[in-house]
Amino acid sequence: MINDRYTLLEVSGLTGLEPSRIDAWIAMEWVSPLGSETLDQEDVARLQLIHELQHDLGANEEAIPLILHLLDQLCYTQDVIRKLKGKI
Amino acid sequence: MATNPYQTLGVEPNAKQEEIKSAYRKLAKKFHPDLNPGNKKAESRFKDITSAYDLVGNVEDRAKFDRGEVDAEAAKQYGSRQRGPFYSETQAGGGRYANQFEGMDDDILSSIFDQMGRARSGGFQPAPENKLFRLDVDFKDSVLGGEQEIEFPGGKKFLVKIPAGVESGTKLRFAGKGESNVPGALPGDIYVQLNVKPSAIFKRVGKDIEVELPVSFSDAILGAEVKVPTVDGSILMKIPAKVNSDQKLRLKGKGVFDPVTKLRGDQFAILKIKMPDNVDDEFRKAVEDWSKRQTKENI
Repeated sequence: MINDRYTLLEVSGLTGLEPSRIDAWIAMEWVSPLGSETLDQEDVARLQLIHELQHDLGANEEAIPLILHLLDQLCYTQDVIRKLKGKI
Repeated sequence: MATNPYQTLGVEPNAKQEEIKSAYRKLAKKFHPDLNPGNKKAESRFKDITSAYDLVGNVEDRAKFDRGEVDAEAAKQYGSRQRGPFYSETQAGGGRYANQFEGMDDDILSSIFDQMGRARSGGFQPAPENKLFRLDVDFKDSVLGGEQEIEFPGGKKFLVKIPAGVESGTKLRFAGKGESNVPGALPGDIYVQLNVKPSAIFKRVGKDIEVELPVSFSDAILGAEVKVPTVDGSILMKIPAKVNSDQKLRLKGKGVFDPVTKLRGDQFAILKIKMPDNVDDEFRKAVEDWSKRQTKENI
C-alpha cells in the first residue's frame, strides 16, 4: 500500500494541473481525498486519469463520473474474480 | 517500438495536425492502461503512443522534430514519459475507490445467479440499484458516536447511526434501505461515506487526541488546577509546578474509541505558557533580582 501524502501544491507540481482545477474536481466529487489538507497516490493517479480522459481521449464532463464509476466497479470485480480463482 | 513518431501513430509525415490528434485519440482510447487493466502490452504501447504524440502533437514541437532539433532529446525521452502508477494499478488489490463496492460481492453474485435463474424461467427482474451518499460528521460524533439525519433527493429522510471511533472515508452500509426507481426491481443498499469535519480545538492522532492548553506564567511556576476541554466536556486537571511549554500531560481514556480493543485512547494537553499581558514594575524588579541571583550562582 502506498502511504505517501501530498499537498495540493505538490500534486499540482506532479501532475501539471492547476490547483483550481484540482479543487474543482474535488468539489465535483470526482476525487475524494481522505484528509482535508492532503492527497494520496490513489488521488494523484485518479487526477491524472481524469486529465487524460478529458484532454487526450476527448471525454466530456458528463461522461467522466460514469467512466470513473464503471472503472472502479471493473477494478473491484477483477479483484473479486481473482480471489474466487484463488479459492477454486 | 517504431522509432518514428509518425509511424507509431500510423500517420504520414505530411499529415494535418488534426489527423495526428485524431490518430492519437483513437490509439489512446484503445491502449490506455486504465481501460485495459493488467495488460502490460497495452501499457507499453500506450507509453510509445504518448511519447510519439509529445513529439509531434502540436505545431511548434512538430516543427522542431521535423527540423531535427529535438532528435537528441527525443532519443533520450522517447518511450520513457515520466509519470506515477496508472490509476487501475493503484486500485488493484484493494484500492480505496474500488473498495466502495466492498460488501456487494454477495449482491453481485446472487444477482448474477438470480438473473440466470429468471432468464431460464422466462422472467426478468432488474438488478437492485445501490446508492452512495456523503455525510459530514462533527469531530465529537466521530469520537463518541452519534446520530444524524440525512435527506435524500426526493425528500426521504434517514437516520444514520455513526459508530464511535470512525475516520474520514469510512463507509456505512444499510442493506435494502435504498429506493427502487425501476418497476419490479428490489430496493438496493445505501452506502454513506463519512467525512469528519476538523475541530478548532481537538486534533486526532491515531486513537489519541491532542489539545493545546494555554497556561499562565504563574501557574507554570507554581502549579495549578485548570479546566481542560475534552470531547466529554471540560474537566479539571492538575498542572504540576515548574512545567515547560510543549510539555504534554495525559488524560487517560479521553481519546478515541477503538472498536477492536473496546477501549478509548488518551488525550494529551500540550502546555503553551503565556506571558502576562501587563508587566508592572514590581514584577519586573522581582525578575531582575532573580536573574541577577541566577547569574551569580552560575559564575
